[in-house]
Parts: sequence; structure tokens; C-alpha cells
Amino acid sequence: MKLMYERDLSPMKLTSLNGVRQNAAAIALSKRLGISRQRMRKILIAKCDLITLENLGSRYDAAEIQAASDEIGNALSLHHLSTAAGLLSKERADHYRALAQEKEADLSDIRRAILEEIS
Amino acid sequence: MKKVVDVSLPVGPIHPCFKEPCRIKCETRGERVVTTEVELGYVKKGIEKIMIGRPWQETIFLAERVCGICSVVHNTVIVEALEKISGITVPRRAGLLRLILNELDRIQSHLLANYSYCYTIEHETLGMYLLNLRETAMDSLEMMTGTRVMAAYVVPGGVREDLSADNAAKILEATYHIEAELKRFVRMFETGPMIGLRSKGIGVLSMEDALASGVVGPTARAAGLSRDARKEDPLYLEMGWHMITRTESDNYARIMLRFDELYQSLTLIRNGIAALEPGKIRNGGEMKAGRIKHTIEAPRGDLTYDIEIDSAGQVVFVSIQTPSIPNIEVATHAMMKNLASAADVTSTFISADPCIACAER
Repeated sequence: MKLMYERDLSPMKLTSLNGVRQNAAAIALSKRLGISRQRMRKILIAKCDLITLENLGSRYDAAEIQAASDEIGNALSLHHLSTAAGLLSKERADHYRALAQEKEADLSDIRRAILEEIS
Repeated sequence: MKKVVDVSLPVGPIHPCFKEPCRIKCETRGERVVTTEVELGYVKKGIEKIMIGRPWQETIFLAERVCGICSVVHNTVIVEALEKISGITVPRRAGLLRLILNELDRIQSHLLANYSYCYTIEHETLGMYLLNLRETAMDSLEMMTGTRVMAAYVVPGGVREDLSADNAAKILEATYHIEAELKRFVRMFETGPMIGLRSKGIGVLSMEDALASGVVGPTARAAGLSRDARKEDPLYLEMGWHMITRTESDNYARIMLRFDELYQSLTLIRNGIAALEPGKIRNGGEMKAGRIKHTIEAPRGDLTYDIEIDSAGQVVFVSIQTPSIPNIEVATHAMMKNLASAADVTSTFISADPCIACAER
């Protein structure tokens, strides 16, 4: 007997990401990370649960408000990746923030490391 | 969900406490629920896609089909959006009738939500009292619109039917009946020791989680957030509306906040009926092309329609943002996280008044 409990939800997740607000949020996230929409979708489908994807639009808006008053967080998309998508834990976001605050820190290197971590 | 703990406990998709199918997957450690995940997709309707390409007249009826509980508010928000695109004005009498209807809808929705909560904590007696009281609100809705649900009462430029003085008096009488009964039931809820044990300090939503998730409606207001689209509506302000919030942010606060809002809705209806003056109930107008994003306060929170109409009157784009989506999400990831008992999963979930039909638009 095939158990329904751990069934593959990827098609449902893709349906959710096709929603207007969800799609807009996924595109905005992909632009922030400098990756294709398709790759962003793959990451979101692999790492996020169904209801997080459904609420991606509202969470993205909330992250935008938080990022508006946080220069480093905005530059590294820390709020967007932790608050909005839950791809990065609070601890890891703080770790990257601390790295960025170090003298002569290269933000593009940190961005690359973040992308590697969430992929 | 990766299994990292003792038992993965599935609740649903068919469960006596749920009005509609959804599955909650709980990861437990002993009796404690560590994390939860909600699985939707059992009753996906695809109404947004069905609307595209159809004339606006049909979309009014389709919008009502998003939700059987709050069909009135879906009808109202889409019509108001169409009116704003075309610059159609509404006579004062029709505006007041819309307000009365929407508040009756809020009363029946809040009573149903609180009934569901009482049912999940096994206080069926109070639950049935509330469900019985809801019938008075449903009778008033039927008296006003001719049917209990999906009435298509709100039409561009006004409302479909007038309210006679006789029926207005009956609705007024119903509000006094609801208020008198409600006082008794609220006292039962406030003072019930078992209700307190099952509700106070359970399913607490922190301010940080509330802000991050974009939670709306009574769930947000019970967490201390002043979020209510009615504060932007001059007619509501004229009728004496004010923001109601609580700070405890637990299951008890969410239910009590809905009770508090019921009293306010009764007052708004009475003030609305008192302000009714003879006059026309519908203005004329012509539908124009355009796009608008319009939000009004549904019983569960902000309901937004982003809609675009072309010059032929066809819908070319529509996005419906229902309040249940953020509310279910925050219930899953914040309110039901680290619950002391698996028995609190259903009650905490229901306290957020999740409408699966709205989420599965």
C-alpha cells in the first residue's frame, strides 16, 4: 500500500508558486540573488513547505519593510531569505551579517556563500 | 517533512473538527508537538483562472463561490473594485445597506468560528448555543437578501433590493436578541475553568512572528496589531467603528476578541438602520477598462482583489488574496510550534479561524 503521508508535493508547490503574488515574490527573490526564476523555484520547492509558499507574497512584503531600515540586511537579502522564505535560519543570517560588518568584507563573496548554503 | 523525532502524527485531511479537508502533519516528542506542517490542495478550485476571459457580470457570481461562509464579502469587494475602476458612485442608502449586510455576515462568521473552537475543546454545549444563535443572524441575512448564502445582493452602483421598514425593525429586534444571548454565552466562556485550561497561554503568537508573517484580521488584532481595513472607510467611522485589540495573543484572546467584535457589529447595524433615510438604492453607470487593487475587511481579515478589465468588459487579470492564507501559515509555523499537548493542535489551528475554501480559491 502506498502511504499518502510522505507523498511528493512538488506539483502542488509549483501550483502555489504560479499564483500571482507568489510568482512576483519568487521573481523578486531570484533578482535579488542574481539567479534565474527557474532555479529560484527549484530551491523554494525543495526547501519550503506548501503553506510557506502560499504565503510567500505577504512574507516578502513584511521582509521588505524590515529590510528598509537595515542596510546590510537589505544588501545581502537576509530578511528576504530568513523572514520571507525561511531558507536561512536567524543564526545563519546573524553570522553573515557579522561577516559583512568586518573590515574590508567583500559582499559579493558573502552573497555567493549565502547562495551556496541555500541551494 | 524530515522525520527527526518520536512520532509523525497526521491530523486530517478528514477530521471531525475541520469543516473542510486539510492535513496537519505533526512531529512529536512524547506528548509535545515540536513542529507542524499544513498540507492543502484537496479542494483547489482555480477560480482566478476561471474568471479570466469572462465578462465582469459573471465574475461577480464566481467571486461569491470562493467561500460559502463569507460569500457576502467576496461579492462586496469585487463589486467595489469594479465601481472604483469605472468611477461609479453608490447612493448613501445603498452604502448603509452594504454595511448592515457585511456586519451581519461578520456576526454569523464569528459565531461559526467560535462554535468550531468550542467544539474542538469538547465544550459542545456552548458550541451548540453559539451555532443556534448564528441562525438568528442567518435569518436576518435571508430576510435582507432572499437567501442564506451567495445572494449576489451587492451590484455595481448599489444593492439589488431595498430593505423595508418592517424588515429593518425585525433585524433590529434580532440584534437585541443576539446581544442578550451573547452576554450569557460570553460569561460562560470567560468563567469556564476547563475552557481557561484549554485556552489560556496556549497557541501564543509572538509580535515578531505576527509582523513577519503578515497575519491579518482577528488573529492579528488579538496579538496587539492594529490591522483592520475598516479604519479607512468613512462610513464605518461615521457609524462609530473603533479598533478592538487584545494583547494576550493566545487561543483565549482570539476567541474573546471575536466576541468583542460581535458587540461592535451589533452596534454598527443599529446605527446603520437608524441612519437609513428614504432614497434610491442604485446609481447608473458604465463599466470602463482599468486595473485596481481593492481591499476590505472580511470577517477573517484583509481581503484583496487585484483585478483588470479590458474595454470589452472582460476580465484580463485577477488575483485574490484571502486572509486565511497568512493566518493558516502563522498558525502552522508559530502558534502550533512547541505545543505542550497534541490535543491542542486542532484547537489552536481552529482559533485562527482557518477557511480552507478561501485558501484554496
